[in-house]
Amino acid sequence: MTSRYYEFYCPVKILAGLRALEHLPAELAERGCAAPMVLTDKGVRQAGLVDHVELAFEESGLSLNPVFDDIPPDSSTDVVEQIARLFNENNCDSLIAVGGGSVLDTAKAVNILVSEGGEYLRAYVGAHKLTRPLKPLVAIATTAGTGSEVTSVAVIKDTHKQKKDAFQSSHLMPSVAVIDPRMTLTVPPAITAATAMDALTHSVEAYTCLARNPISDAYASAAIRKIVTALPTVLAEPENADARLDLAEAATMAGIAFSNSMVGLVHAIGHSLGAVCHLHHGTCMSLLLPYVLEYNYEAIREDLGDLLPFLAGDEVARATPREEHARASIAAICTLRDVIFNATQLPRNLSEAGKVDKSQLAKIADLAVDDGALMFNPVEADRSDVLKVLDNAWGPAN
Amino acid sequence: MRIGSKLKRAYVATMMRIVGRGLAAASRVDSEIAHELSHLPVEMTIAMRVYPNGPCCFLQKTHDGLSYLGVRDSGTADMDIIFKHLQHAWLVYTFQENTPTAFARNRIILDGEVSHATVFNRCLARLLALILPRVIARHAVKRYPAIALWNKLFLATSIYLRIPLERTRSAL
Repeated sequence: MTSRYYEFYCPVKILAGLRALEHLPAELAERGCAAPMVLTDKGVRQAGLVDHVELAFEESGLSLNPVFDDIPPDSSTDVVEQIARLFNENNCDSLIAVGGGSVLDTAKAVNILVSEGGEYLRAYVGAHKLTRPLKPLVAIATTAGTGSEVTSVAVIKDTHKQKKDAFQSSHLMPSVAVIDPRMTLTVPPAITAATAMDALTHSVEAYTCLARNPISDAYASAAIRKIVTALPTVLAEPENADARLDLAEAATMAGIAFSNSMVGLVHAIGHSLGAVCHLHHGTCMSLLLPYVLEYNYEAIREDLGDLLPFLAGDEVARATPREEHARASIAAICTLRDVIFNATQLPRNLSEAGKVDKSQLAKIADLAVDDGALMFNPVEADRSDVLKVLDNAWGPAN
Repeated sequence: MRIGSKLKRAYVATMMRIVGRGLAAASRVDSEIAHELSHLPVEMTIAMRVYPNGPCCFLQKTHDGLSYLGVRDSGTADMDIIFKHLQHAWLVYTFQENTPTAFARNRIILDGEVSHATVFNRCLARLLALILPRVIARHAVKRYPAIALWNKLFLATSIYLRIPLERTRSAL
């Protein structure tokens, strides 16, 4: 008898579509909240995206105050602790996070401190440290990639170490996620591509890692189909709101998938690569994905083959012999990366990234083998295995 | 409690003691496990237990490896590895399911820092690969390591000889 068992949980209410932001005042009122604190970053503020949120509240006769717009791209424990003090000083009762992965993760971490109490985030590092629901958190993603609006994880850099700490608890999930096409319409092509490849990696790893399950598979495969269809359209027509909405929905679906099935070696190496070389997370995912799939190949061949219709379309899958489906899936991902490279110069390997020195690879491997995501990779990987993957990912100039 | 459940509980409790003492012994015998453990902070306490009050064992990282702290009915640890049910611990300790798979199937709750858990899991996998026959160990670990037979026999013998000598120590 099979020993299979899985759990699936996503309590996040999703508000998606045209003018989704206008539903927010009523959503907060329903939760008994009247004093939300808005968290964002300077780029999002300057792009006028917070204006959409403020307008939605103004038209309901409400104002948003305070707005903290100084979250850095690579948020840290110091920033989280500073915002938590501000939240308490202003007697806020809820959080609205407007931004990408860093802003959303920061908001989750702030929510830990303002709900659980305490001054230092370090006390909550790890999994299952939270034992009760936190304050209402609304997540408004301005990039279509991290899926952070529906995940139970936050990653924050420890200011005192060159290392990112992971926080995991079902209580970290936002109460509400808003997918409004206005919020991603102005994202530049390179960021759009990198974040979409992050979502694609979430989906592929969710579908092939140890904790995959039939429900996360459904979300992951549907997200893949949307990404490979919508991303080239968005790169060709950046103001195509329908394709933007498709990408944002796909990122959320991928987030739901990997939050319930976890991820694997791409993320284990990618977290470390990002921490050591300060590369964008989506870029790390994009350039590592095919090389890790090659590493895992024998263990995931069947599952990877099943993804071909979603990655390359039904016609290609029908025309490809079943035994070649897995190889064709990797080839489809590489083709997509080439399309992206031609449109945005998003690097396809470590040498093209231009920010990585070979002397850093050992440090990256050291950090990667201690990353929690490695536990869920279908194939064991030690330090020398990670170095081999990194060596392969260096590129043709190797 | 039914006899079958009592036997299961006794088996899991015995295996936890063997694994706990085995890890403490291996930390002084096997250089790979000693190297892995060097990444954990000194004085860090580790608990393996079955929820809510099933078998358990406590360990502590010391300057020279791991110390076996024995069985406690209560108390917290810096890293708690909690089987959600006796049946889940049974699957792992009868080597029907390896620890990463048990994690993936939500049978284990980790309370503590994830990076420390990955280090501990590697130590556990290495221990099982050393002290179990290959045919059994292959089910207990994700990947059976490349290790020469004579080296495995030497290390396994050294660990088994030390297990009865690993006395229960007090926490630092």
